[in-house]
Amino acid sequence: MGLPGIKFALIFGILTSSPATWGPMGKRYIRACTYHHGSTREDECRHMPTKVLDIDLASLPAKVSGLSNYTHALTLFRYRTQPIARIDIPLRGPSLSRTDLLESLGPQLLARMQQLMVWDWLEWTDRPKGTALPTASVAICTRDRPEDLRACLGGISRLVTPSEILVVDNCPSSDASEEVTRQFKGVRYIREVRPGLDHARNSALEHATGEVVAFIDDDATPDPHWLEALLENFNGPNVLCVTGLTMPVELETSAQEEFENLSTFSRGFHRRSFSIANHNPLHAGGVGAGVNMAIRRSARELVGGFDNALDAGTATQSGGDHEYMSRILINGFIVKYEPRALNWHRHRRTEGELEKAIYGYGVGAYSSLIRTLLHDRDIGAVRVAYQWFRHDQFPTLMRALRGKPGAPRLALCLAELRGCLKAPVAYWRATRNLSRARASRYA
Amino acid sequence: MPNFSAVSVIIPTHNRADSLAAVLTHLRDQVRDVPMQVIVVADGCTDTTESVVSAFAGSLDCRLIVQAGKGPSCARNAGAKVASNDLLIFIDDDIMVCENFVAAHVKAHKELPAKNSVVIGYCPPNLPRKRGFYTAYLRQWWEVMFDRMEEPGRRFQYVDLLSGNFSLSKSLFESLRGFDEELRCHEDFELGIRLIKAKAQFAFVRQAMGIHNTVTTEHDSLSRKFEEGRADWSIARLHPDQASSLPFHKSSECRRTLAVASLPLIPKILDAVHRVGAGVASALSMRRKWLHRTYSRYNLAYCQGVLAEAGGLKQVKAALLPAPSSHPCLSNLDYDLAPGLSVVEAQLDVDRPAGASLWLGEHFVGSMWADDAVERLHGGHLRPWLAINGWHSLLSAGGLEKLGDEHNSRLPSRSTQNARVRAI
Repeated sequence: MGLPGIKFALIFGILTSSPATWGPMGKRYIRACTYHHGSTREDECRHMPTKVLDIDLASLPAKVSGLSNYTHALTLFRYRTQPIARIDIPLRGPSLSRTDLLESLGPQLLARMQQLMVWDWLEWTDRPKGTALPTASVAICTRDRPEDLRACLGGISRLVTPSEILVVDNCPSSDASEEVTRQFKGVRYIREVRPGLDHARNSALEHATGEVVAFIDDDATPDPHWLEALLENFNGPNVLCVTGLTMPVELETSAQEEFENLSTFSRGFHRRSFSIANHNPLHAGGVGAGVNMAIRRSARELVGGFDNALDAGTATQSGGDHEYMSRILINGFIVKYEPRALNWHRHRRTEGELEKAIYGYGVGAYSSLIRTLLHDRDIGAVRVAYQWFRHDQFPTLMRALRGKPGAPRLALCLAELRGCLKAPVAYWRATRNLSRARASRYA
Repeated sequence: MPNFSAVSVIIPTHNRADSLAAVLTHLRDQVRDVPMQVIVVADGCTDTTESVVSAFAGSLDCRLIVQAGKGPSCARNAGAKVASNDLLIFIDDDIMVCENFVAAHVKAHKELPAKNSVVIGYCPPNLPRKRGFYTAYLRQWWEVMFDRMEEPGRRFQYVDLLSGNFSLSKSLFESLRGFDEELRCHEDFELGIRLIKAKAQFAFVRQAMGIHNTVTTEHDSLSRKFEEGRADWSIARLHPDQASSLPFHKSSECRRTLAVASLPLIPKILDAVHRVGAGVASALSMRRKWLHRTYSRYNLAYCQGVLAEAGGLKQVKAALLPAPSSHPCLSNLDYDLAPGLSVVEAQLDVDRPAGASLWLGEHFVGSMWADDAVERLHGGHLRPWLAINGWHSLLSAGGLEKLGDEHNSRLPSRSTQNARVRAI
C-alpha cells in the first residue's frame, strides 16, 4: 500500500463501517422507520399538500372530513396520550372513515393497540414511576418571530405541569417579542444581546431556577403532556438530557414535505436510553434535536455549557444541540428519548428557506465534528465524517443525479455538501468572532 | 408490611475520615420521622476516624466500634450485633445520602407484602470530571445496572444486592448469620444467594438515593477483578448449586482465558499487549475495540484470581465438570386467573413459588419459569409479566372481539369452579 496509503488508513482509522446510524444528523436511519406502509408516493405528484391528523385510537371519530384538497394524510395515531405510530394514508376521497383508519394500521400496529388495551385492563403502565418530578423551567429561545412566539406561548400555557417560563430574546431587532411576552402572565423575559442560539441557551441555563430546563423552538407548540413526559425520565443525576418526538404541524407546501422526508425530527415511538455503550456519541443526530429537548442544569458543571461558536446566529448555523448531546454521551452520561414528549413543529415553507436550512445543517454538522476534533482531539470525528459521506451523502447524491424515485432533489444534496465544505471556514470565522467579541467586552 | 419503628445505620469504614465526616453530616440532615441510630465500625483505622465520630456525638445518636482490620464483612456483622433497632440499613463510607434516604427505606419496607423484605437503594456514582473511555463507561455501567433493577416485574438475582446501600430487618439478618467473614469481595452476592434461598422479597427504590463518591481508576478495577475471581471461587465452594451462574463457569471466554492464565509469563505479556491495544484504540476513539481490549484485561485478572484461590488449573477444571444435581427439581404451580388478578396475587404472596403456570379457565396463558438463581415469585410479578409476555395469550384466551368492543370491562369468567392450585 505504501506510506501515504498507510497514513491514509491510520488517519481514517479502521475503515470498517457500521452504517447503523448514518451520519451525524442520523437522517437516513430515520427514513427506514418513517413510513410503515410504503405508499407509492415517490412517483405520484409530490406537490399536493398532505394533511396532518392526530387521531386517538381510544376514541376514534366516525369520520374525518375536510380532506378534499389533500392527496395524503400523515396521521399520528395515539392510544390515549401515547403516540404509537405515524402512517401516511393515501386519500381516495374527501374524507376518511373509521374503517379506513383502522385498515391503514396494519397487523403490527393493531397488535400494539391490543397490547395497550390489555395494559388498560390490567391497570398497568410502563411509564417510569416512583421519583418525584424535578422542578422545571421551559425556555424558548427566539429571534424576530413574534407571531410564532405567541403561538408557542399559547401552547405552553396549556401544559398540565406548572413550571417557570423563560423567553430568551436573542439579539432582537425590535421590541415585538418583548411585547408578545408581556401579554402572557408569569413569563420571564430575558434579552441576550450576543448573537447566537447557543448564547441564548446558555443564558437560559444560567437564569433558570428549575432543576431541568426544557427547550422548545419558537416555531413549535407543545402537546399538553409534553413537559410531564420529559420530566418523568429524569430519574437520576446521571441522566442529563431527555429528547422528545417532534411532528410537523402542517405539510402544506412541497418544501415542508421535502424537509419531513429528508430530515424528520421523529426518532421512533419507543422510549430509548442512549449511552456511550450502545450509541456512537458522535452520531448525536440519532438521539434527538434541539427543537424538543430538556437539559439538567447540573450539566453545566458536569460537561460545560453549549459551545457559543455553534448554531443559528453564528457562522456555523446549526449543530450546537447535537454537539452538546455528543459531549453528554462522550462523558458517559445518559440521554433518553421519550416519544410521549410530543411537540409540533412548523417546517420552513419555501424552497429557498429549505435549501438554506439544509445548507446550514451541513455547515453545523461538520462544524460540530471539527469542534470535537480540535477540543477533544477525538479522531472519531474524521471517521464519522468519512462514513457519513461514503454511506449516505454519496449514494444519495448518485441517486439524485440519476433521478431515482425517493431521492431528494439534487439542489438539496448539493446544498448539504456545500455546507460541509464551507464548515472549516465557518467554524474559524465563528470562533474568531467569538474571541473578538470577548476581547471587546473586556477592553 | 413490616412497619419498622426505628432504624440502625451501619457504616464500616477504613481510613476515610473526611468522607465519613461528609456521610455523617448528610445523615444528620435527614428528615427524622423514625428514631435513627448510627453505628460506625472502624476497621483497622489509623487516621482521625474516632475524633470525627466523637464530633457528631451531640447531634447524632452515633456509636463507634473499633476492630482490627478484619474486613468489611466482619465490620458489618459486628455493627449489626450491637444494633438495637429492628431495621438495619447498611451503607458504605462514601455514600452521600439524600435527605429522605431513611424515610424512603422505611416506606419501601412498609409497602412490601412479605415479612422478609430486602430493599436496595440507588447509588449513582459521582466520578471525577475526567475525560476518557474508562470514566464514561463506568458511569453508564452503573446507570444501566440500576435501570435493569427498575425494570417492571424484575425477578431479582443475587448480583443485584449491593452492600453499599441496602436494608433488611435485623431478625432476617441474624437468622442468616450475616455476611460470610472469610470473603473480602462479593460478600454481598453471597448474602444475596442465601437471601434468595430464604425466599426474601427484594425491591429497588430510587428515592433511597445516596451519591457514591468514588475515585476508582483502571488499575483499581483490575485489582478488584482479581479479588472478584478469588471470591467467586469461594462462593462456588460454598454454594455449588449456584456455581453455574458465576462468570468463570458460565462464560466460554472466561473458560478459554483460564487455560491461558494458568501458564507462566503469558498472562503478563498478554496484559501488556491488551494495554497497548486499548491505548491505541482510545487515541483513535474506537470505542468497541477499547472495550474489547479492556474486558480482555479484566477477564485475565479475574481468571488469575480464580486460579490463585483454587490452587491451579486442575482444581478449577474438576470444579467445572457438571455435578449430578442434588437439589430437588423446581416445579411450576398452577394458577387460574378467572377469579381475578388480586386473588392470584394474594395467593402468590403466600406461596412464593419458584415458577407458576397461568391459566384462564381451560386455556393456558403462559408460564413464569422456575429458576433457582432468581428470587421466588410474588404478587408484584404477575401484572408486569402479563403485560409484557402474556397479553396475547390473555387475549386469545379471553376473546379478542369481547376485548375490542368493551375494552374497559373485565374479561368474562370462563370457569365456574373455584380457584384451584395444584402441583404437577
